[in-house]
Amino acid sequence: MYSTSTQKKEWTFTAEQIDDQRQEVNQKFREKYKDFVEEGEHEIFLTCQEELSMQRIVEEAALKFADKFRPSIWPSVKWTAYAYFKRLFLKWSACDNSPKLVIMACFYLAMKIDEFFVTIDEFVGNLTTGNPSQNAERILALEPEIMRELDYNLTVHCPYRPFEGHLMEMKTRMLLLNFDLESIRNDSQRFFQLALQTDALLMYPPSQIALAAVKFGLKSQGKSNDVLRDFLNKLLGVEEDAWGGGVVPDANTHVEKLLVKLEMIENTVEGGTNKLSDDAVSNLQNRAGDLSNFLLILDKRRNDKWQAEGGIGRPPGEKDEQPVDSDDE
Amino acid sequence: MNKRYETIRHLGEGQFANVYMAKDTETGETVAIKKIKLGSRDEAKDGINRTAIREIKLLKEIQHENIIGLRDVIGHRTSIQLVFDFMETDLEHVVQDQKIILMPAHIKNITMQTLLGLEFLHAHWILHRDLKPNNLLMNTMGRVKLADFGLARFFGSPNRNYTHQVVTRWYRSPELLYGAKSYGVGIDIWSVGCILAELLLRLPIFPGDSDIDQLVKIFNVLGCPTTEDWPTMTSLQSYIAVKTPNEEPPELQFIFSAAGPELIELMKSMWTFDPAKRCTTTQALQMDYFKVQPYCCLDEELPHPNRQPAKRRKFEEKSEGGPGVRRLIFE
Repeated sequence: MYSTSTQKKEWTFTAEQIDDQRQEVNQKFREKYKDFVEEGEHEIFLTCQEELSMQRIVEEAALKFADKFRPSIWPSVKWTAYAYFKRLFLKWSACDNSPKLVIMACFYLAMKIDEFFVTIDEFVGNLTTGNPSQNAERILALEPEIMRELDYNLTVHCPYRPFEGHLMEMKTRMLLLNFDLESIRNDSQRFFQLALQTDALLMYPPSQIALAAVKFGLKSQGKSNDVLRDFLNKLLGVEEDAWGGGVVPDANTHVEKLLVKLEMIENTVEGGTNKLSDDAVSNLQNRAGDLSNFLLILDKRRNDKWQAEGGIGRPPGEKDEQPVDSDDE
Repeated sequence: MNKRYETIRHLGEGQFANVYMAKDTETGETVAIKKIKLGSRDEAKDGINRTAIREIKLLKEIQHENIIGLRDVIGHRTSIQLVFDFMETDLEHVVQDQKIILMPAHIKNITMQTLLGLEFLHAHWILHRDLKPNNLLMNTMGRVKLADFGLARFFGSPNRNYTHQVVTRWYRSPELLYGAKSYGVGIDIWSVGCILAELLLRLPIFPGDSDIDQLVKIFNVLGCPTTEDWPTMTSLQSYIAVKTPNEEPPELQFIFSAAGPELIELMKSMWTFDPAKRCTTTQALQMDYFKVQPYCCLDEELPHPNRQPAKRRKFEEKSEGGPGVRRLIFE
């Protein structure tokens, strides 16, 4: 149930909150190394926008991965994986964690969550780069980390079922439509594909994203926005009584508010998918390459300092790993 | 070292996990910690155990008085531990404890708590899929909670198939035994009917020792379903016509001689053959059984294997004088 879900309570944000969070993550990453960066080297770090672009590139590539995956997956697996990915990079920096690896691990976890049964061997068999056993090892190592970072909130509500519901509802309630509602399906699916590459997943309830997909589909088929308005009137119980006899006083404003919200979702989705030019992509790849070389230098500087100070405590940069209780205590 | 939880003792071992009693040093409360077994390298090969993942994903979404609370998850690279409310006993122990007398008001209370938990679960589109006395836990306050969500899942996707290999056989509904691939809340309701019967009889009502025998055991009590009762029955994958020796099934009233007509009515609607006509949790809770006397007892009046209920204790104290006196005389 979405209304009481962890998705609504813990993982739904405004655009500003998302922005702030990304700035903070970017800042935190810089701060890790602040004592070792010298004059003029600050430029080497990726900006917040560049980090986001790296994520978007991976998101685009992963759509192809999802479509080619065998056995073929159902769409909710994809949506769930993307939701995890976006949630994680509100806490992780793309400079710290390879987005490419993270999204693969998200897909693997999403398949388990959505009861889509594949073994790790079948899963890595679908990857075209790297060697299978190494891929498997990396993905499995990330699994518990991802779950912890998501605070074990693993249920993701997707818009695909609400979409089917809306469509069915329209078919039964709007008998006078002079066109086949099924004709919007392709465009609506395209809308979902676009939405996956935006922050819409972090911002709106799935049933509203589904309605926005209906709106987008109708528009793409050249239908008037009145069809949608008419449907929402029926959905929210505004009677077509011109004298306003039985109308709930607020219902009309509810419809108007919802229409505004759907417009916002549409803008988020359509505005959020600025495809990078090939030049921009290769430029970003160079920058990311430079950064990872630079990080090696920084790590060395940091380590040298630690050595110079007598090597007290744990070597810097090592992750805290809590020791594990054995089962036979 | 994570020392929020101090292990007190080992409670038991299941197929996938070891369960420990522990103390939460932050709150002082007793908790149960389920440590998922990693088992052989082969089992761990696919990463974190699916059963554990199901429990986490579902229980994180729901909080209800009659559903076991998942308080915390401790995840490591190589193991995962789930921290639950600590519950002293379960209905299997209660049913099997000869010293316990279950009064009609006790049974009504347990049934109501079970149905309330299940109603909440179904309202959140979750099927439990493994209800049995062993999975209904009870604490010393007499609170009953649904536990073990290792087989549970969201339902309602019309285009997905579900496995019929769920629910421990004795509590499995006829549609599952017939291999139904799409099913709903009815499978849990059927199990509740079996649990209710077990509370009354103190023995499982349908203890089948194979899937066929399970159907025979059911039909012996309830009669064979006709296509009139259950039109879609014959189209189920593993449908077979089963003949039972007794043409006319006995009246339920005859088997449950101590049960009133309202209770019989409730069991009949929980054991309706056609899952589409079987009652829902909400309908069950609104039935006359819960409206007639004796009403539900208070939770704390429920008997407990290690503690007799308040009223009975008084009775026992009195009767203890009896044998004691006799012993004196004999000696």
